[in-house]
Amino acid sequence: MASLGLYLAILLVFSLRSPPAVVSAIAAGVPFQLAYLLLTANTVSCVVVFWRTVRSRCRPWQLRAAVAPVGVSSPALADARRWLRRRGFSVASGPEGSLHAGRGRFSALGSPLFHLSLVLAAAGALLEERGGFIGTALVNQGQAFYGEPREYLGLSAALAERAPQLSFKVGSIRPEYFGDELFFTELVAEVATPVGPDAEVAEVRLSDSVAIGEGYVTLTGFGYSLEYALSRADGTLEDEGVANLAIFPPGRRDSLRLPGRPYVVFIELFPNFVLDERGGPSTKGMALGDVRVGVTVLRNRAVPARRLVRLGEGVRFEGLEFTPTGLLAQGQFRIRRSPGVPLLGAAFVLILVGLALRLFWTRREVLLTPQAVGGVAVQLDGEWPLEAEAGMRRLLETAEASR
Amino acid sequence: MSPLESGLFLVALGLNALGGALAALRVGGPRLWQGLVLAGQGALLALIVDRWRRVGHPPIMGTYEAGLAGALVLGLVALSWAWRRPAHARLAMALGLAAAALLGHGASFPLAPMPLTISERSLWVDLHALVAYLALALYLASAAASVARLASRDAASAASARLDEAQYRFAATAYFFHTALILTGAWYSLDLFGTFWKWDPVEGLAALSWLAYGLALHARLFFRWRGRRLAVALLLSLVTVLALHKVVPSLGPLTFHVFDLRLGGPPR
Repeated sequence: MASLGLYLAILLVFSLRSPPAVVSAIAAGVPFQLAYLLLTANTVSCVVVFWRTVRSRCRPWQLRAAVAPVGVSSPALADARRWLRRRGFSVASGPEGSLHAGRGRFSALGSPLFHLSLVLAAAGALLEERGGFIGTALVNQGQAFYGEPREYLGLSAALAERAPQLSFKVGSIRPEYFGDELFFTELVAEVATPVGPDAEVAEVRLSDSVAIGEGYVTLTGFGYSLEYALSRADGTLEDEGVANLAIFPPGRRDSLRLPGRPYVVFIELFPNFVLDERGGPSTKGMALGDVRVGVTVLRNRAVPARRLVRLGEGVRFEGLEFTPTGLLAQGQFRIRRSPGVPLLGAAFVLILVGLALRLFWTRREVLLTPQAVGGVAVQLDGEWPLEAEAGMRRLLETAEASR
Repeated sequence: MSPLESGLFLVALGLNALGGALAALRVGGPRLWQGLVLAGQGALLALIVDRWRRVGHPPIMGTYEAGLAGALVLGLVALSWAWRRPAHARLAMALGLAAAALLGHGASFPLAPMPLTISERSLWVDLHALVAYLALALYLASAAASVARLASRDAASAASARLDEAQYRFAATAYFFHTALILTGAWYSLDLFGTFWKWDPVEGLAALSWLAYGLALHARLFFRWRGRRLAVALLLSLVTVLALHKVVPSLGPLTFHVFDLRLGGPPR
């Protein structure tokens, strides 16, 4: 545990100075992999050691054999029975006999269960590392996603093989903001899955992933894609399409290349146009209102056109007209496959069960035997907290005194 | 901050501090200390209910709200301790000072009510925050017992044995909630980031403090550490928890655990 503490301390220092991705890369290095192996071996040996003795430590109640009719009764035992039952003891006694109570017989299982859960968690993490998949895709409102590797952003060949089989179509994406700031109070996408006639509708959020096909889908980001048209000066349509751009939040600029032509068009979005203090274009908030689009056309280093236009309004340059015709809500979806989740979930539950058994449900046993001369003899076994023992003795004394 | 909230905050802070200080200085008696802290907790509860009603979410957004909830849970733990163990009433009520410190610390951060951002809109987050408040309160109660155990002159007395038991039981219960804190965070992290562990510095500190307490509890369970030795181990472990509590708000963009947002200018 001390070495594990040292390991964490080292990585903590890195995490205070570097982004999580860098620390993750360090933590996945060979020296640390060796440390994980040693820690797992150590934990497995703990499980083995604890398991060897668990049967003897979960032995049957020791004092129970002494429960027998003693020919003397005491009203204190009735009070004691209620007191013990309220505290989770299982109570056994005969008529005019001694009273036996016990709880936490299997408390000793806590330590091996706790350590076993750590091994399970390690196995789950390994499964995640070796078989897991995380990919990001930009899908516009009204578009479908079929889970093909090429639909993901920057997917490596190794990861492409693990891409889960799934499909969905985005019906709508609804953002809500707090006070027109870049502060989402709601961001939900309505998706139909699978793509086809038998589709069911589900809502996807950041805080609530949805199981679709072989994967889980989460909505992690929001933006807008631009619908545009390119026509000649005489009005003949040359091209139209949707460009997936990174133009949200306001202040970001992205570009598209006009197919087969030497032009690059830079786009900037002002969702609710307003002039700032210096007379420049700005926005009142994030929600769409009086939308303006900043269009800058570049041909090599020349700038044939630069205008701020409304949707549907064209920008003319060198015999062509570029028109932003609309905006499509664009969702950034994270698709993951997590083969380690069942193991990790089981490990998480077992950790808490093991801790609860070991820390709270400790083994306690008591034998109360009424004495012919008065009073009740008390025999205890197990881990009795001082206050619990004192409380029980007080109860017996009070009951005896009131006889 | 509304006038009502300001008033309730000052009453809660003042009464908790007064009750705690009188108990620490042994001025007055248990009924007075408990009465003051109870009244302070009543004001705090009223504040939280009023704010919750206005904002529409439990107190989990930002250091100020974390301070409110942490102080409420700590006060309730202290009052319950005093009622169950009258012999420890003075010790328990001295925790009123810690509750006041939590409130004061929280008040040095933005106070304006904010709605929950999308990443916080989950029952997992509510559970995560609740077990965090419980763990902190119980660790502080354990620390109070440890300090008293260190100050105890007669190691063999029944009072020392009771303090010994109290420091262990509070730490063990806190450890359970601390574990639940890490597990709920890890589980929710899978939805938020697609991974159970992200190497956020807060995660690292939480794991480090978990290990520190784990070591101390191992020493108690398997090596029979008791009394002062255990008290020192538990107090050293508390340093990591306090570092976590104190350092988190200053980490800014290094962590995703800070929600002291200043939107649209100064919030006050």
